[in-house]
Amino acid sequence: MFRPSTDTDLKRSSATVLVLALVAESPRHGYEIGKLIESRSGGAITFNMASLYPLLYRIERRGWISGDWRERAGERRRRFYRITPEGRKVLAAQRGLWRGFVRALDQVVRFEEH
Amino acid sequence: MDWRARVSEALPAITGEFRRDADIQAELADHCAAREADLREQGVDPREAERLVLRELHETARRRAALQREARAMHSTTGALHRSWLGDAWQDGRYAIRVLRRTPGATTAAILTLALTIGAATAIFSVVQAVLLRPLPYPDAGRLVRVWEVRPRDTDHNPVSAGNVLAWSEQAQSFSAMGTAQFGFHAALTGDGTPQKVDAAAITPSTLDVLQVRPALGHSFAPGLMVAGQPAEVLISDALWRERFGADRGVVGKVLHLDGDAIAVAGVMPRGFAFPSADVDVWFPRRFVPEDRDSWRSHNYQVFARLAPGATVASAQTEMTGLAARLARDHPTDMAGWGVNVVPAHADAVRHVRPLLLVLLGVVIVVLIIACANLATLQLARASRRGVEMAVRIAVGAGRARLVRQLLTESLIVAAAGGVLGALLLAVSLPAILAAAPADIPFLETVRLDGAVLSFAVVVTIVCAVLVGLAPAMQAWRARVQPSLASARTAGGAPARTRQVLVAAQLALTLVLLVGALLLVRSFWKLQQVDYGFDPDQLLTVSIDLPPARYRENAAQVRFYDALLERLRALPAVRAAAGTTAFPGEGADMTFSFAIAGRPSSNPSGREDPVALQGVTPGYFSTLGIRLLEGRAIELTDTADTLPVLVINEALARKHWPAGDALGARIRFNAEDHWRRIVGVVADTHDDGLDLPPPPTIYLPLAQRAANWNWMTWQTLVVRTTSDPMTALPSVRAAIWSLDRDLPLLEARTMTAAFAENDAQRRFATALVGAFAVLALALGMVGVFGVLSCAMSERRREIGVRLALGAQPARVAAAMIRSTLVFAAGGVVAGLAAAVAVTRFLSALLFQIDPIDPVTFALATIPLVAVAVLAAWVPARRAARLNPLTVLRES
Repeated sequence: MFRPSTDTDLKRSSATVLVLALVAESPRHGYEIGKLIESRSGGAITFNMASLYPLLYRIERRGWISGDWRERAGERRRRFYRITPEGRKVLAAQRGLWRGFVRALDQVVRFEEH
Repeated sequence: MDWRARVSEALPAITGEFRRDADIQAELADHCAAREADLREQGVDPREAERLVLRELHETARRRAALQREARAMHSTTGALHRSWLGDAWQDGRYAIRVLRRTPGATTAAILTLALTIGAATAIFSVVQAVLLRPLPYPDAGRLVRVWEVRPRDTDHNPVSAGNVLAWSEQAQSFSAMGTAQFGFHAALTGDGTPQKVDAAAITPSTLDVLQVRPALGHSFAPGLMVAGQPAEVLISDALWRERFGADRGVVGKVLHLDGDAIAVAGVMPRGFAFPSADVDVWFPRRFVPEDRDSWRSHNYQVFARLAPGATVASAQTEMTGLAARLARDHPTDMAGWGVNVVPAHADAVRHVRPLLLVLLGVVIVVLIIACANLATLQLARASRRGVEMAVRIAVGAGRARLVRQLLTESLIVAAAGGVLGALLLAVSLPAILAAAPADIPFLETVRLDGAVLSFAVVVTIVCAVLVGLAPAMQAWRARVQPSLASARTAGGAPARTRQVLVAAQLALTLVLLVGALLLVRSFWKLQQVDYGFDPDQLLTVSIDLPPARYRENAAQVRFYDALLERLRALPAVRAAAGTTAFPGEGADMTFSFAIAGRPSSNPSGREDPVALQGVTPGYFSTLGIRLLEGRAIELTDTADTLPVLVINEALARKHWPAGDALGARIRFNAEDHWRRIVGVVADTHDDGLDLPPPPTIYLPLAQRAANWNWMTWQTLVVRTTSDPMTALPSVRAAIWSLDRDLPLLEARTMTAAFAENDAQRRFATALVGAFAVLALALGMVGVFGVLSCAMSERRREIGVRLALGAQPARVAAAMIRSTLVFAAGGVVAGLAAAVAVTRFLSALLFQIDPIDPVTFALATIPLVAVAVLAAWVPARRAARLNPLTVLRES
């Protein structure tokens, strides 16, 4: 059976845009990011700790997101990631890239025909 | 679940940069906690939720490579900004505290060990500093010297005769000033206010020039070595001035009544002036009369001098030796064979306590080293458990220097905590320590926690930190990544050997302490076995001194003492009572030379070498229980009007009448004296202290003193009581005061207490060295136990395999104990060798035992080996009981 969540190539290529899209909405902490990816993808895409944090650190290192510790009312101190201006540009570019890619893919593969 | 702890366990080091690691660990812990909460919310069984999250955490740990790569890359771009020496130190410190808090028991034990040992070392140092190192409290004190007579065939610390004082003062060129002092006497201060006993000293006016001290108020004594109509004046202490005269500046010129004489106050000495000791409140001037120029036989003066510019102790000694030879030529009868001894004043003052203090300082330093070796061993054991953490850190690029620094930071924090705690302990306990110290240590009252002492504590703390941290740090330095990661749980050759060497060293040092302690204990025991020569139990000793103003003549004094003894003997609590001029346990106060009738002495003086003389009352021997060996004791019938007689002790009889013909022999003390017949010989008594041979002694009936010996005004009353001697004291005091209400009791104690004071130094050394040896033994036990436990856990797998292959558990245990015995044997050999080298420093404190006494050496190894085997026993048994299956499944 095909399990997208185990297909690391696919996941790795799409990972950056997934994270950037989520933190573009609002600052989020690591666990929240992982959980949202899982829930919005209907469980198809999951990241566990071992893969999520290296990903976050890589994106952070590139300067597209920045994480810092803060407290939200009624919650404990957590590390929140927010998108940087440069991250927004990357997100816009990646959105375009993926939209074009999915459309092109669709034209070839015809997802809806089954 | 403490996710933070689980994360740092699973991922102990990620970048090797501690703040970054802490950040990541916190973030992952937060993730775990959120995940666990989510799972529970979804209705997952809490235990199952925990298990799931743990599994994810372990999966992350297993796949930590990616995390490390990203985190390190991140660290190298952003972390560099935070890099600074101080920042690193701060991080090291915080990290170290976290590491230490993970093992609170071990950390507390380490801090307490160091607190105890650093505190003890600092305590001894504070005494050494005050007594041995701090110069005397006078300007340019290094140039102060003591000058003594050297008595032929006897002491080189003989007090000086008036003849010598005058000759030296007038002829010696090596000194810019020379003064004399006599102390240890008392005066009754009467007049306004209550009568008060004050301690007094008599000093020549030049003594203040020697010390270079001037009165804070008023003026010094009028100058002049000889009596020449100077006014009767005294100097008083700052303390007396404040207490008695309310710090009234008008006290100068005021007339005091001292022992009934009216004497004006010349001045008040500065606060802290304690010459020769802090008890002295009144200084009388001492001046000489022309006859003193020919006084060579009474040696009553303590001589102090200040070296002249350009003179040294050696040059002064040379000059004085020449001067002594000249005086011996001029006065062959009295001075032939006598010499002079010039000694730096400070060294001279502390010569009796120097060996004790140096021994104690050596002992606490050894204990300190043992404690450090002990903690280093435990650190090493811990470091080997942290081998994986270290290897990972190195693998991810943490510099070795950084790791070493980290480990040293840990030991520095432990040592610093120990040092601070030790200093606090010391500050609290110093008064008690000083109270327990022997009272005859000079300058003890000046001990305080000053800058020098605190600096010592700081230096010791840093040295401890380095000693404790060095071995683990070196091990971390040598660690290679691969072996540690690959075989973190197998026996670690080099570190295991290092640990064994450290424990062997600990055992060796412990053995040195044990040998020392045992030598002292055996000395002490031998001392307890010494026969006093009399029965010391239920004896009260009370010293009194009759004021010459009221008891001028011999007859008046004798009358008083006869009457007093009669009253004492009538008391129900008293079985017998007598008096002597000696102070029991404190040695011969007076020595006299004498001539033997019909037997010219080979000495140039024509008289025999001086021996102890005691003026005693009838009943003295029976009261003390001194055995009469020959002839008769001193009787009530031996009065000023009857034939002069003497009793001597066995030591004197053996010295001069080895054929046993002492009875009937006649001696006299000088040409004006009567011949006195020896009528009895009594058994020897250890009057100078149990550790010294009984001094040859002459007992003179007090009533038969020469007419001009009326200065012999004091007596120590020895009172044999029916029960506890101190309970008889009130009635004894009442009896004394019923005869003379104004007579102060100078000293009242039991005979056993008098002798105990005499060996206070030895008692103190024995107790301290013994306590330190026990502490060292306990530390050694912990060390052996730690090393073996650690070796066992490292070798679990090996032992498991052996057991699985059919090895006998008993033999496995025996092998472990054998390996302990091997390094314990190394420690014993090294310790015995070291003990042979150092126990001779104890000689001054030993009694009738050789510093390398083989029996003591053998005895000392027994507790050491016993403790080593005992400490090895528990881990060895645990090894033997391992279940091979469990062990093999673990790996």
